[in-house]
Amino acid sequence: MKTKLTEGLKTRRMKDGDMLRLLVIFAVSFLVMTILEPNIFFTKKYIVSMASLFPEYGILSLAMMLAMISGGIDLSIVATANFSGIIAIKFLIRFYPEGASALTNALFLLAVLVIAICVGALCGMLISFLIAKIGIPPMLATLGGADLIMGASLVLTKGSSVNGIPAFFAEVGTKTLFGFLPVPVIVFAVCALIVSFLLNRTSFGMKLKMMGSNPTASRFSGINNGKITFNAYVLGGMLSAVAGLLMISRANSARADYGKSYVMQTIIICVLGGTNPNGGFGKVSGVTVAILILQVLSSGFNMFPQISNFYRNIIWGAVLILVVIYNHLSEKYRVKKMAQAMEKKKSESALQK
Amino acid sequence: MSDTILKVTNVTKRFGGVCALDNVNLELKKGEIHCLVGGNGSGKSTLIKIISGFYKPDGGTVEIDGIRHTQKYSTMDAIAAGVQVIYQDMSVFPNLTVAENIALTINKSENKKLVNWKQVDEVAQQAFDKIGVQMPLHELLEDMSVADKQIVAIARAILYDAKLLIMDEPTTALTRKEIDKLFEIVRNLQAQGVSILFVSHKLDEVFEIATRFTVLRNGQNIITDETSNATREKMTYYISGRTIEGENFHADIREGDTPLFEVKDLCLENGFENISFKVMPGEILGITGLLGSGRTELAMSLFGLYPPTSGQIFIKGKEVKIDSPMAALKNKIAYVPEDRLTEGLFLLQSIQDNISVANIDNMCRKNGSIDEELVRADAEKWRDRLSIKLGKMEDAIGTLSGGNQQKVVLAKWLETKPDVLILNGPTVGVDIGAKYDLHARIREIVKDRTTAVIVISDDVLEVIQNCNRIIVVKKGRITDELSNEGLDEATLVSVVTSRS
Amino acid sequence: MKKLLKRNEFYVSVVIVLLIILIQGKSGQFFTSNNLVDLARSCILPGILTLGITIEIIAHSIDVSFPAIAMITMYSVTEVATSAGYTGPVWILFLAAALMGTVLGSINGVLAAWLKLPTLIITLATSSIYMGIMQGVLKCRVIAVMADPLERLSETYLFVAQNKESGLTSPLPVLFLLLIAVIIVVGVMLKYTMLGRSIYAFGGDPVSAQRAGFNTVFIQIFVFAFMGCLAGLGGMTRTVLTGSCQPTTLDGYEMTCIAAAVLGGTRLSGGVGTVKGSLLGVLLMMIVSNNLILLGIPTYWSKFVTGVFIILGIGISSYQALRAQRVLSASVLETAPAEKDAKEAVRK
Repeated sequence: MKTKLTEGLKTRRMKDGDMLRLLVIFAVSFLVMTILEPNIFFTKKYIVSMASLFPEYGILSLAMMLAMISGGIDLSIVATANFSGIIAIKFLIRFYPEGASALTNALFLLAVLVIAICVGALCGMLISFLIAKIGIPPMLATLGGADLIMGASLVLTKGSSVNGIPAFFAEVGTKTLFGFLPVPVIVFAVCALIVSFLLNRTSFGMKLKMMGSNPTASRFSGINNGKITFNAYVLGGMLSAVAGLLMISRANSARADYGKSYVMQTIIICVLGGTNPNGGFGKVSGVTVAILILQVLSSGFNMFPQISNFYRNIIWGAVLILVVIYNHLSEKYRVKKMAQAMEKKKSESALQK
Repeated sequence: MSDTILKVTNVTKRFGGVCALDNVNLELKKGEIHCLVGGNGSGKSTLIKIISGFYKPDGGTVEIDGIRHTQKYSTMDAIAAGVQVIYQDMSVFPNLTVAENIALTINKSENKKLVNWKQVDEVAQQAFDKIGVQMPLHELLEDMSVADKQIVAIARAILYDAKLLIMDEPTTALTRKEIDKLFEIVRNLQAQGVSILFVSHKLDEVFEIATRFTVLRNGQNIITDETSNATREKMTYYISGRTIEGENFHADIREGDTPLFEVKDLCLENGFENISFKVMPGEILGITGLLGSGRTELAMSLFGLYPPTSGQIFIKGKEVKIDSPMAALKNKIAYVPEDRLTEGLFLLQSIQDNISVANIDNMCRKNGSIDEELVRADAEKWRDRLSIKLGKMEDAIGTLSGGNQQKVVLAKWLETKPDVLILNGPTVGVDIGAKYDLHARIREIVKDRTTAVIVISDDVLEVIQNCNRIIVVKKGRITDELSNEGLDEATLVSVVTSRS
Repeated sequence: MKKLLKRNEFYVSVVIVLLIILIQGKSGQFFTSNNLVDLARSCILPGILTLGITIEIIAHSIDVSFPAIAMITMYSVTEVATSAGYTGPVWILFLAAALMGTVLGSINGVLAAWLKLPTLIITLATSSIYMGIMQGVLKCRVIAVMADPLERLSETYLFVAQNKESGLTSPLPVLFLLLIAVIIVVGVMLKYTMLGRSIYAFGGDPVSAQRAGFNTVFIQIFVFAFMGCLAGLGGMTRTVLTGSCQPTTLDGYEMTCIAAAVLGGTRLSGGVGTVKGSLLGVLLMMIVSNNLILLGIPTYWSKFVTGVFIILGIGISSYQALRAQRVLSASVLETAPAEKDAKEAVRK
């Protein structure tokens, strides 16, 4: 009984205490950066520029989180992002007329969005097919799928970048609403709200986490594992597509190999934000705060010209290891406490006999 | 030179505040086959672990072949003293061959650095010769049955010149034929002077193979005696501390009622053949048979896990097709599985989630969101109705006791308002008090005459007490149908185990 | 015969034969001496690395950091040797790279074994850290002209094959012998040493391995350290073969090697994998990526086609396993299988 209990608790649940801790870390990092470089850090321009990068991997993190909650992992999110973006952008370049009106711009924007999301959904369908119907483990299915999808991008672009994107599209990335909220941030917020609703308030979300926790029991409870997997990866694919459009808008060109490092960053963000890589647990709020923390830290480092971009990689990696170590240790502690409480309860009831 | 191979004297072991063993004594003579009997929580596993050096006793001594062992007695010491334990999980390597599985550990313990494959084969062959069995040396263990894996485990153990072989519930997953083979090996070993301590709760095996037995209950000695002196009734009393009490379930069957659930000529390839039965309103149907008789395959098939290959299923007179668990759920068939930890529960998730998961689609509002209050109210309703002892609804279900966990699984399915409720081994691993509690609940369910209840179990007592009609399954076919009226355990057991 | 069909190696061999027939048929160029030598040459690096990852996968560990280890050791050793104007024996450089790689790999191993952290995530993290150190701290650059011994080695060949028709020549670098050496070492280790068998045992059932007295912590650290060593050697090999040091040259290489190992029958769940199988996997991957052009397929299709093969290869064996789980294997009706097996089969 004792070992079954300890095994049963071998995971991390996102509790209020964890969320509080994340917020504290965020607040502290923000403060530290502000103090170190007050002139640069707390200016509107800086906050805006800081906010411009995170929506991309924020949305990708949401896609990764869905896959993790389902008990898997999605290493194809970046490939899907690029591929969907490339197809949508090629459409745009081909059909966009010169000197179009604002209305035409809006229509084309919508079309681009729809096309990208559809392609993203298709990629997700392919991946979920490989996982659910063929039985390939998610890690391999998404790793191989990524090669396939990126390979398709390479065929489409013949290895070079896609340029000549109509100007209005790039402007979308830089526009701000109400004078300070960049559009990409709003896009991220919308995505986050949608995912949060789906996860917390719908039966899909519930079934997803149950399946991720124990796929056997979920099958034995009448849950359609294949359908839930399908939905999770298709949704992930659609999110990746949106992220892909943001990436292209910011770079003003499309390539098959943008954002290669994003995959690892999204894993760090998810794990830091309380998502359990073994499945069953994950919260949008946790992921969001994790993104903010990492963004603050890395922009902070950007400000110091002596520290090059590559240091960011070191930080990401170190943070990931530290987070995993911390999770592991706090879990051992929690399990120990639980076991002690159980022993106490047992001896109390034994005495009562 | 005494003729005692094992002498356990006044051994006590505590875990935290709980006393698992309380002044327990056990004595085995050389060349004896002795059975250690007890229910769940009786302390038999703990005792085994102390004899094998895995645990250190808090009091008392362990003596092996005349040598009294100190507090420092470890597993290595036990092996050196000639004690070999074969645990239920057998510790074999599925990805290696039979020969390598046998030879690997002994080569490792002799600190060999290189591998000589010819020697590996020779060693394995030697072991097989000793136990009097032959098996293909180069087959991979993962391709073999549980019974064969066990034989490999025994062969491996015997290489260590074991004087005392301890087997922990060895027959749990074996068919009748395989049990016969196992017992043949055991007798063979006995003839060679090996003493054997069997741990089991299956009375038939105790009577068949052991010369003497010892019963433990709640960590204490109850009795040690020759098997020739024991009867089934006495044993049941020794193990549980109570005799069959209360009335057997009696069903109120009315003329002219349509069957709630009917199965006609159901077949599953490699599983079962021509299964036909009915369940009338007010009845609890029992299905029993030995392990490997097809009863679990039948249960799973009725729930769509292995869809039947031919035959018909009728619910309340209407024919339905069950080709997946989703279809079963849709048709209001519920299945409480035998292994609740891996098949019935989501250990890390909350109690509330575990209760609501199967029925969650019916708890959503029009806009797709879950009606949280309704879910919560229902969960609390079941907590009260089934008297589930829990802390908070948000607690992980791993914190509950076995009986309460099983109640949660039951609640999960009752939430779906099933037309057919199939329970497979509903009280396995549940303590006596919770066992009777669950039985009472099950009996209540049929009172409203709208749910067909089928109890599948190898616990003959459970089936007699709670099912008014009992079907016996052998080799995938129904062989007998009995009423529980005036039926006693011994008769049912002989029907189940007869070779017909 | 049935058993033969079950093994991945069989399928991979069939596909290789088919591909060869196709390529030879279409272009007549496959069996030319220079193509064969080119093929052999292209197998050197992936061969070395794939054997390393095979061992790790057998030990139930996944490692995506080995390209990073290869790159950082390759860069460090070459940079130091070049700036110092090293003129000593070249094998010392290889030794240095191997040692450095072993240390870096051990870090992975320690994190995995002691702290029991999931290997995918650890190696993702260390991969990032090592790349960051190389690019940030060491400020790596392309070294076009390397230290003398390395330059000379890159021009040392076992023999040169000449295609009499096209006049093309293909040299077979002497480093091919390194691949042979690694194959022999790994092969012997896995089959004839207790250490090798302990890796299989650990991969098959870590708990049983521990009960049997194997030092499981050591095994875990060893497989990562050994991979690190091979990665170091691999990195140097890459530099020598290309004739210059390009620090980001192996980015993304992990998938190629993992795919080759899995195609060759190495099971992701651990405990199963062979040298022969993995080498076949490497051969298949190399034929696909190098010889497609002989079929008239332009190079930018290469990644896509490789992806298709990976999915097909992994998919076939996964699908077989999935199908097997859905049906009752042995008959209750005749010989009555153990129920536990039947229940374990309904896992998905």
